[in-house]
Amino acid sequence: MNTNTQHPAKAFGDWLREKRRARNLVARVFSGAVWLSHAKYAELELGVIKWVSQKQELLIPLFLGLNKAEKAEFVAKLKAARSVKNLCFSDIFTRDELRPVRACHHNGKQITKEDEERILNAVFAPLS
Amino acid sequence: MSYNYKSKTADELETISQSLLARYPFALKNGKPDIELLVEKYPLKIIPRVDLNKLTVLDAYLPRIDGIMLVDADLANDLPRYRLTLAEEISHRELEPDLWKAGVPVGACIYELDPQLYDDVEGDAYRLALAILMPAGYFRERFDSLKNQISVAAKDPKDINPLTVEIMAKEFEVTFDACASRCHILNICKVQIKKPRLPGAVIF
Repeated sequence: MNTNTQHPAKAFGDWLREKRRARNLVARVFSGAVWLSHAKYAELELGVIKWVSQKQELLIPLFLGLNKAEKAEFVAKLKAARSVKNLCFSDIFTRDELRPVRACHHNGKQITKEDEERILNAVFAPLS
Repeated sequence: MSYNYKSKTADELETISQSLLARYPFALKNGKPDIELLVEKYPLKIIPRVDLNKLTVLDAYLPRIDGIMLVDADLANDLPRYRLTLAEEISHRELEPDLWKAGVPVGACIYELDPQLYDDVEGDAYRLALAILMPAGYFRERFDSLKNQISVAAKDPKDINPLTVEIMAKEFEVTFDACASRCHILNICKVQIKKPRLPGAVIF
């Protein structure tokens, strides 16, 4: 991974993932509860905090059932994350890190070296 | 230098799946695994990307970096296929752990494998995914029980197995083809699969 391990937004994402997993909530289902697509919510747990609007600020603590101390921690970590430059997906991973090693092709075909760039372009396309 | 992968026997795949499920007992609900929960506890981060399938025809893949699984964002709209894909990817992680622990050696990247080796690797991953999603003991038990019930009601005996497979597929939240392949692997019955999915699917 890139050098953003200590980035406050990454710390916020890690904290959020830890709280969610501790409650045995899977990301796909939880993302729906907090009004985000699964793709955007996954980015949020990686540190892309631009997906947190007022709605998510309200819904995330609610659906995680955070206690008072945890809620304060949520607010503080989010504030810290917002105090620095926003991260985007390409700040978190390099293209080399996301090169495919094993893949599930829809038709069972083997991918080629030429496919690799197309795959990476699709993966690094920003979400809208 | 070529990459060396030894194809697994059916018994070895059953043992690997049992060992994996034993490590995550909380992920088993009524005898079936919650594969999404299992993947997250593994831990692998599931990262959906929009249009991955549309632009590349990939449903999902494991990248060089450990702890990540990239999936097509629309795949979860078809839960049986989504679950099978997650199980296949975690199977790769179980079958070839050194690719992520020690790094990818020359010749081991997916596009570097020769066709036979590719079929061996993918076939094992598919069969292991089936074993994870449909644990042998509980699967047999449920099949026998359902088949007995269906046998009483079925008008034509030749409908009994296909109908049982169809209901089992719904119960285990897998595709019909996955369930039919599992039945064949476990010598339960042979039912024509609808859309061959290679490599790994049993075709007859």
